[in-house]
Amino acid sequence: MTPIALLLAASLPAAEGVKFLEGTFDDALQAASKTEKLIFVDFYTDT
Amino acid sequence: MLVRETYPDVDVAALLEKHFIAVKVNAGKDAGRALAGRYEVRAYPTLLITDPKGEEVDRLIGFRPPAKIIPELKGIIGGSSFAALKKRVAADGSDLEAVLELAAKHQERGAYEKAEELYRKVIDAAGAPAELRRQAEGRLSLAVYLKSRGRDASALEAYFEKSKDGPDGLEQARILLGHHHRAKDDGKLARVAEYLLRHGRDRADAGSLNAVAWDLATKDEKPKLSLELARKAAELAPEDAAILDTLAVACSKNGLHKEALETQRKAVRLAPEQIRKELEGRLEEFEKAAEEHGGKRTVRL
Repeated sequence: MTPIALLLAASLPAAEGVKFLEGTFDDALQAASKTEKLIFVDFYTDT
Repeated sequence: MLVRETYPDVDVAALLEKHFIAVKVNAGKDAGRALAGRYEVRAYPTLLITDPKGEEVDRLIGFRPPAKIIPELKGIIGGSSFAALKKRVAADGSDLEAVLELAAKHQERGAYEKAEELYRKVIDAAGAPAELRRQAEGRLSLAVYLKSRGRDASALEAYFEKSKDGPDGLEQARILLGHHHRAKDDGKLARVAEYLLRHGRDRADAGSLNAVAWDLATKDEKPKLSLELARKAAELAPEDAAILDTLAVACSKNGLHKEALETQRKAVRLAPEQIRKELEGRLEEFEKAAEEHGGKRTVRL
């Protein structure tokens, strides 16, 4: 990435949609208990 | 579908960011399979909402576009979750709005008998507001149909007859269209089709018109009706490639080759990756048919 592109990327707001926790359900439980948020679990399958 | 359509939506993202910790669980892998078992997840995708202790608050089963999931999530945050509604109804059975909402939640979970019991409670309650009673009757007719696994449409038909001049006959009409088509009841099919052609107004209506139009067109049955239904579906969802594809096929079956070609070209332009090849294949056939037979041959499917 060129320095200008890097600068632009850093200054633009994130627009990538829903951010999922990178971790397990237990990690989500821990994070939720600290923030008092609910947990949204997307159960999916590959098929 | 959720990944492509729902999760990129900025409003969905903002809502989840503010009120939820969002996590994905692959139910096909070991740890995920155990978790899915623990919460009795049986269909995918299931979007499970729990509190920070892991107690289930609610669940949404199946794909949700942004316009559907946003009010549902707001309801869950705002005290109309499955868990909250159960508490409210247990504390005060005369809270008929809560009873009706809870019934709908049971219905979504496939607990049709429980849903039916609650709908009847609303219908039979002395002094129930007319609007709530009407909604309960409509939902009940669907629950009865679903419970019979699509065999008994009598309650749906009765409600449709009673409510078709009102604001909510469309949901029943959409289901009845497919039902009468499968049952090959031409008289009833024609009547419901006419109703939907006149009153259909959104993508859900377009979807049900499209399904029947496609089936008729590809089976070489009722070409005129197929074309009428496909035209209405395309009018309601003019940017939907699959619906335009149906319209192109229906045009072709009715000898309207020029329109078939133009429509299919548009369908290919709008087609998402996974169906583009199939649509391009059909476009080639439309082009060949038009060239070779001066527009007189219909494409075989």
